[in-house]
Amino acid sequence: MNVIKTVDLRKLYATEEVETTALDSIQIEIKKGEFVAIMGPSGCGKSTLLNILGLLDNPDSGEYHFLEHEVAKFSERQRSSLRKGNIGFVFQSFNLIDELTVFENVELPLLYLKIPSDERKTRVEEVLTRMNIMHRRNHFPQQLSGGQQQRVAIARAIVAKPSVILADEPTGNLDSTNGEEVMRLLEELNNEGTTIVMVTHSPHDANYAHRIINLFDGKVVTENIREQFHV
Amino acid sequence: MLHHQLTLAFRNFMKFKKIFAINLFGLAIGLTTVVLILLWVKDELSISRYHEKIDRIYAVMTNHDNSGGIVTIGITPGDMAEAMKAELSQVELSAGTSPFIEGVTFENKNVKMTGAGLFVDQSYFDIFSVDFVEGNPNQVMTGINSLAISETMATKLFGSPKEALGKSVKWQVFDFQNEVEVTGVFKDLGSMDVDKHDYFLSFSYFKQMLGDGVHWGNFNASTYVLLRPNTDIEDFNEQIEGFIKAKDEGSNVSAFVQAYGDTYLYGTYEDGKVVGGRISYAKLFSAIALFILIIACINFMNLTTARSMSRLKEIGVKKSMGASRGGLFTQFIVESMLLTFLALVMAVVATYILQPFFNQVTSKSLNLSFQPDLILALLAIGLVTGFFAGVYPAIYLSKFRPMEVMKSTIKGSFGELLARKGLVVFQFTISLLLIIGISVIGKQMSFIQNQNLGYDQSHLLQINASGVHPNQLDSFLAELKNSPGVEDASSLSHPLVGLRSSTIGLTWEGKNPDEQVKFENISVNMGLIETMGFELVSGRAFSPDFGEESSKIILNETAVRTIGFDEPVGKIVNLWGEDKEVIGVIRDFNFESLKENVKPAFLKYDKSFAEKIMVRIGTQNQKETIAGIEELFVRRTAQPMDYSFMDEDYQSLYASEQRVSKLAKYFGVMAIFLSCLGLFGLAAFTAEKRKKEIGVRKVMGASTFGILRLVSKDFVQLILVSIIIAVPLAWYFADNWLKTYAYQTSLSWWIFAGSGMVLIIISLITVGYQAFKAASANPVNSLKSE
Repeated sequence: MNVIKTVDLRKLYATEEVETTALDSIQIEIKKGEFVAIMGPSGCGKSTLLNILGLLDNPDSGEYHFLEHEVAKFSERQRSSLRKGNIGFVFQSFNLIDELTVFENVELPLLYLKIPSDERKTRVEEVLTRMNIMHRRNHFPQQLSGGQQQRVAIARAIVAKPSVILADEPTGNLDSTNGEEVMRLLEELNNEGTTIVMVTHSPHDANYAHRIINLFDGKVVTENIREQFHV
Repeated sequence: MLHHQLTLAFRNFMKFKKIFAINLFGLAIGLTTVVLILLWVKDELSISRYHEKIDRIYAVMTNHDNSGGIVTIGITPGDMAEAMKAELSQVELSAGTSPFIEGVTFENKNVKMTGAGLFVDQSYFDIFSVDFVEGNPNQVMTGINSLAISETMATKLFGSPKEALGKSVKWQVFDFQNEVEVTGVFKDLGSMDVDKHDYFLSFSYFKQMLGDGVHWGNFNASTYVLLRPNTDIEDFNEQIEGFIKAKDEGSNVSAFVQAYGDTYLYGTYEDGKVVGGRISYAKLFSAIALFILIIACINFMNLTTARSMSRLKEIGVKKSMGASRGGLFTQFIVESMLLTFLALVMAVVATYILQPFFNQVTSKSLNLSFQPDLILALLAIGLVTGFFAGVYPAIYLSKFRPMEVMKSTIKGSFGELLARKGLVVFQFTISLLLIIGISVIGKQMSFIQNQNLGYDQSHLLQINASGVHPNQLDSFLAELKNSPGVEDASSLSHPLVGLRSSTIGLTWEGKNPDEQVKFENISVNMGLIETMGFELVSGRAFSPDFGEESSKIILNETAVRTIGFDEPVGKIVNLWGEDKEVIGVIRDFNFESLKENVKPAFLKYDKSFAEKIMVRIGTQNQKETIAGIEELFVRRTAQPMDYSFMDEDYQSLYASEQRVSKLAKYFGVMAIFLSCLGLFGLAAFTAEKRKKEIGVRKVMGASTFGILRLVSKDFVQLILVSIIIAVPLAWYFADNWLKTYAYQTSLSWWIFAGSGMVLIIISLITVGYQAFKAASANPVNSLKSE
């Protein structure tokens, strides 16, 4: 089953003087349980694609099927409700909310899913333990190292048990040891069945993926299948 | 979710302490002003309105169509109440009363005191709610010798209200006196009444006192009616318009009723119609309160949206997790509500602390008591303010798209910039209006104080003569003049300040018989002109050297002009059927507020009406002089001396103007302070946002002064726009206000220029501090932080 399927996806950025094609006729299919890396030089459209795949933005034309829904023309409100619980985000800069503790940051997606307080507590603790960060539950993000912050961010991304995790340069701000740890966590999640789409510059990180999509000037130039993948 | 929102709000407050403090204190100051003004306005609106049947109680007013225009007063003929009840089916009850009479002496054996109050009949208590603690409320005023007194008076005279009931008391005013029985003791009337009543005596007795004076051409009583439910007031007024004319052919007086509850707030009449009154102050201050609150809310809006950058990540993350716009909107509204209610609590505490001071300024006894209606009002104010302050930031912040905010590609839009600038211009326009308003009021007040009134007000003592028996007046005055420090002394019929007694009974040869001309009628004793320092333009003053003086009269300049005499001295006029010879003319003097032109007046010699004794004292040892006079007064009258200084009495004519001017000053300062507080925050934010630009410019060689100018320029432009908007508005309002005075100061250009300068200087100091901080920072730091 396809979790993600795009047909002729296009996205333009226009200023008063110039019009830039950020994405041009993108056709991709991502199956349930796949781990896909998107690679390419700066400005090739990786992040734009990830934003559209993550329902944070709409394409200008083309089709986008997410979990069997055609979402290309979805309104902000529709996208927001589909996003809830279905997609987890991991960002390069972690994007933890500074004013919330580790526990509260991870709890946030569950609040929007209106999960009762007792269950929230259990689930957050469960995922914090799994990310080996439980002892820091009452700390604020500034009090943590980069690796710890990214583990919290991953905890937050998976606490709602989403079908897809979108990761934008998840190791970009980390040293190699912490980076390695984050990649192993993502791999583990993938092994448990979570679909992962990751944008990365790092060939090393890309090696964790089953498939690598290379973008250049807004177009898919090559797709390398690293290993056979079965649903 | 609410818990999450509150936690986040609290932590954000703590993180941005400076902005939080500016917002909190700004709103608290704004709300304090609102709560104080709310208390004041609530008090004003409830005065005279506590009576149970207030919806049906009406005061009968009369319009007197004189040559100088229509004068409206609440005085009627003495038989008005009785006749209205008998002839008009809509009148359920009616009550005639005397005017409010002060200085009545009451005596029980050796205990004496003076009091103020009314002569009424029993129906008065059936119309108005008076709370009796002793006596039968239904039979208090059934006899002509009945007396009802307040609890305070009963306690002073008899030790307790219970003791007072049934006892006899002697009272005296002018040369009237009587012995009466206490038939009731009522609870002291509180601050909800215009006049504080100490006693009620019998209206029937009052009519006896007036004797021949009770007829349809004479106006010496007040009339109140209780109308039947659902009476059409317009119809009723049409019906009673000619009521007096029907009784007294040729009368120029028409009648109408005004709701009794309105008489306090709507007491100004023009051309026989109600045109306003104190209500305008209630409206003015409500507007000021609203403006100050708006200024505080604008600070909140500007600072919250300006620092929205710091919230973008949070908004982005939440949206990516599926937070809806509505949910985020609610979150920001909750934050603003939380802040507003914190500010409200501070405001209530501040109001409580400021209460005594505010009461002193407003001459009221306001009390912040937590009755349900006040609590509801406070809650409503909190909700409206919280929502109003928060709605724009909430819409603004919740509309960001998650992708934009996470990539930090947000640029302030032109519209948003315009909105923020527009709000600042609005704040400063209001502040400037207040500064100019305060300056104009101040200039007019000082103009009034320095205006030559036609006599010397200083060191002039005015003593209530009620305790001095008419037979002993001359010997008392003689002894007074010999007291150390006393330069001169005399007596007169009524206080000079304010208009108290006028007559249309003065005629002269050649007067048009159809025209009614009103003259101010002052009865004086020998030496009054000298004591007061009135300037004689021609002729002479009253003097014992010329024998019998009661057939003589002295006119003021306006009276001479009104009559049209070329050579007034020696001419004959006729007063109430008696010929009087004009022996002198005095220069016009102002006996009313300078809102009014001087009216025609005459002085006649008649010492039997002596309400006030005027004493001119020396400039040295005034304390001892007054102590000496007091000792003499107490010895001669066996009662305490009630006195005041003439200049203070005169100033009291402007009490409400002075109060307004004082209050406006406080509120104006508050508005400016709040505006500057907002400007301060905004400047801090701008400097922060332009940190990198400033750094680059400095590296390129910009001077500190250059940077200072760069950062301040935008703000000064905004202030200039405010000045351009505010000046014509202020001129318009000030000009209209000054027109209410017959004697007015000029609207000088420097008031406007000066106020504008003050505003520019204050705001430059505010902005300058932030600009200087930014300009003098090491550029390396700002460039590194990128």
